[in-house]
Amino acid sequence: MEVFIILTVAIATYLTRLLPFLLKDRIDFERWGNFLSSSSTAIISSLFVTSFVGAQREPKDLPVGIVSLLIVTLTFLRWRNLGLSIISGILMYFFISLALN
Amino acid sequence: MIRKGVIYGIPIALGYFPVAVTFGLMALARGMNETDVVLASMLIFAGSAQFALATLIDYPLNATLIPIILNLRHLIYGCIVSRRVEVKKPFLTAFGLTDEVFALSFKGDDERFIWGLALIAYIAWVFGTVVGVLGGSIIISNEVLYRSLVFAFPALFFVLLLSNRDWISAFIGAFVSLMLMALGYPSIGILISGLFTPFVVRWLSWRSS
Repeated sequence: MEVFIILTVAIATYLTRLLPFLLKDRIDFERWGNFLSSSSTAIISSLFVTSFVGAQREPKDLPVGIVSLLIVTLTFLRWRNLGLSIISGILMYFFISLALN
Repeated sequence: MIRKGVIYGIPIALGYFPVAVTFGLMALARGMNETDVVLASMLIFAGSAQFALATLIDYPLNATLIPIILNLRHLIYGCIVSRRVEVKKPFLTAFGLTDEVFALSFKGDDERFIWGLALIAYIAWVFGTVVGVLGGSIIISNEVLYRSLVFAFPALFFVLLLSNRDWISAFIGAFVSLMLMALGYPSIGILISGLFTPFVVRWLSWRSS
């Protein structure tokens, strides 16, 4: 039964990712350009909110997260390097949490 | 270009690994057998859907339907990627289009870049699950390390927002998402925010003109 459930979910997940590619010729992207652009920003923003808020287990986590995001921002504004910004944020989060523990 | 995708995907892998370890441990604790847990990560490759599946595994109908509903947001991802990138091998590209791969796909304009992102993300996800199944409790028992690695996700999305600069869409999307999160529907909130926000933005611009 477990294998059947896994296979069904796997096929359905794959189809939700694949169908838009197969049906792209039937979608007028020029007409939907502004919609999709705004939609993609909103989705990324939602992903940020859910991942950030979801990580807050205790009140003390919020300032740790905010300070780490500040470092991410400053690093990104200085070097414009995505990987470097994220890794500096992870390190900041790690060291602050370590210090608070 | 695949190599560039792999390099850009390192932050995704850093975030995926501890979450996958947790999935492996949690699914075992829910009574799934080792082979099925790894099979789920290999075939589904969708974090929230897999956690929902493992949580509901005792209720087959819910365990099948809820993960599928959670993944409906991927329909929008494919539409957006199709608009930006010429996709020649949709059957391959579609498989790895997770939330994080989709978000980072904006950093490249080639299908192979997406393959690179998906490849390193997939390796981290499956490897993390195997580690979880084999006894990853040591890794996730270090809470500071675990949570620091998982911080890679909000950091990644935040940097993408910084370089995007469509603040109105970002703000409305965040607001909608927060509301639905407060009501207990975080994954559905992502889908609703992606569908709802463009209409609000359009209404605001129509009102101001």
